[in-house]
Amino acid sequence: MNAIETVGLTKAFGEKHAVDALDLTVKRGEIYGFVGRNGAGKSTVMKMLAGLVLPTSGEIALLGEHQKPGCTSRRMGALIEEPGVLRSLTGLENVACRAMSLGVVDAERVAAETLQEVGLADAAHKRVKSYSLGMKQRLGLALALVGSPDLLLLDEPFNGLDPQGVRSVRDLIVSLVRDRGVTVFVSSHVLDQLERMVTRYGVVREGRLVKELSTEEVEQACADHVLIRCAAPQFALSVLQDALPEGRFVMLEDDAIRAQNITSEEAGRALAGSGIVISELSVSHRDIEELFIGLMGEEGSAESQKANGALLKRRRAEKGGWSPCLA
Amino acid sequence: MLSMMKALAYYLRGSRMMLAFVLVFVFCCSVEAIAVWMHFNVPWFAELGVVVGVYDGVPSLMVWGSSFVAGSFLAMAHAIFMAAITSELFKRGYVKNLIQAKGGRATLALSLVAWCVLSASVATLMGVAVTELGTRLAGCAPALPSLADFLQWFIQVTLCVSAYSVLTVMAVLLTKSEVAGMVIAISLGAGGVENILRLLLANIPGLAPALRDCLDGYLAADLSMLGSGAICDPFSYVQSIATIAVATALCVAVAKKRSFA
Repeated sequence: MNAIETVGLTKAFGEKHAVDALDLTVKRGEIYGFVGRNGAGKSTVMKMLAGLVLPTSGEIALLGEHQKPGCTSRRMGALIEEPGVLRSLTGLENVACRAMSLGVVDAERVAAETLQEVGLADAAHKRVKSYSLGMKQRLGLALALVGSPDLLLLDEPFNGLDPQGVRSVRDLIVSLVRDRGVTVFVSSHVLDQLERMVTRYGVVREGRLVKELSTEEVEQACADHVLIRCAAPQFALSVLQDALPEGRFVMLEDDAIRAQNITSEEAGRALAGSGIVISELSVSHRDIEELFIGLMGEEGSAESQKANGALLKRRRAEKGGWSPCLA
Repeated sequence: MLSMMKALAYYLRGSRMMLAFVLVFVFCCSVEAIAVWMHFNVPWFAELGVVVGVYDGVPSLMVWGSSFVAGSFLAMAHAIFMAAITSELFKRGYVKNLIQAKGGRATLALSLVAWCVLSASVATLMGVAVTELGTRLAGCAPALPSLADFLQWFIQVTLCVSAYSVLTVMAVLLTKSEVAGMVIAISLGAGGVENILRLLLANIPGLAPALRDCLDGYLAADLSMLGSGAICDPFSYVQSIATIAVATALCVAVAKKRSFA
């Protein structure tokens, strides 16, 4: 049973498709990082999963249960955009009220424990209007966590938090997954924080899921590499592959060769030995930000459309025509 | 649904709006008793003739009615109260935290409706208690009604007030706006909407009499009668319950379709 499955999920505002036929699968126990530019549709997807916004079309299944439009699972907690809190109540009352609505027994005790988890025990009895931005964010997290959900949707959970707060929230998320098997679907622009906890990434652009990457694929893409530009690049590639079998070589679009697991000296020696004239030989490291900006930022390129189409085809083939929501 | 009602009760308990409503309502209910006391104890006030028809044996229903039902006071105040607490859930986005309950949006809507009826009955009882106690402390001994009369009067007031409040809650669910909720609460509770609709219906040429006169003797007329201490005919139950039922269905329908983000 997957934690989240969507088939053809679409949200249209007039003629604009904020989310366009999104097919998404998040496995149980994953920390799925959902990344994309502002306006890509991340929050809209999360709002539909949380039952806050009705989809135009498509289906949603959460924790194996098909969800009717506007409905959501009781086993899910969500923190989406600003935390919805009542300023005239205390932090404890805010959390206890939600706990009661979920049917939690001894709601105030459970609320107090949840506030302790997020580091708000000392402020539990203060009215929320006296809370700082970071405290409200923690309160929002407590509201998502109360009731021991099996699935968490977190939209920008690090907003307003100081570095210590960011670390403690990150550690909390990791411990929830590790100790309680909670699945976390998180969207954030703070990529280096995602990098430290996410197990799989999904990149959304213009309402479509354009790429999914495992952490291993991201690490590989961001590893140190040697960039080579030379005359006769195809010949140079075969020379390098013969001379340095342990290396990994990729021919890029502009006929540059990207090489990993070898040093620049080894590459230079191999090419010079074959009389190939080198015009550029450099070592570079691509960070995660650069990687995702590249994935998020390409405007309707042929490659991204092909990738999207291939991804959709692969998903449909894997499912063999079965809709998770009709099971 | 019980869990949701508990949660809403918990929210109300901690809400300053609840305290404000209770204080204002109790004060307004006490005004008549204060005026009665002044009538008996302050000669120049008695000469003003502000208080009339107050004597030992005056029907309590008349005293209660004039104190907090007449002039649409209870209807408006209660509708404003429900508009305020419902819109607060949307204004702060707290409604996001409530729709994961069992039954989701429908449960939330039905719980708000249930709270309309419950709080209207509590407000009516509170008004009766404050007014009766105040009037007796002021030196007047009204004649208490029979239990049957009291129950009929109490239920009719509660149902009429609830009908307006449920319509107000529906409007807030539709607009998610505090301002719209307040305007609709005042317009409905004061009978303004009914009066305008009656006027419109009366001026549509060729309209069947049944339709033209359908709002005659509707909720505003019933509240006016109840405010004078009279008990309405049994049809009052039918129209108020029917209004509540239709408004409840609309609340659920609107709640299921509205975006809560």
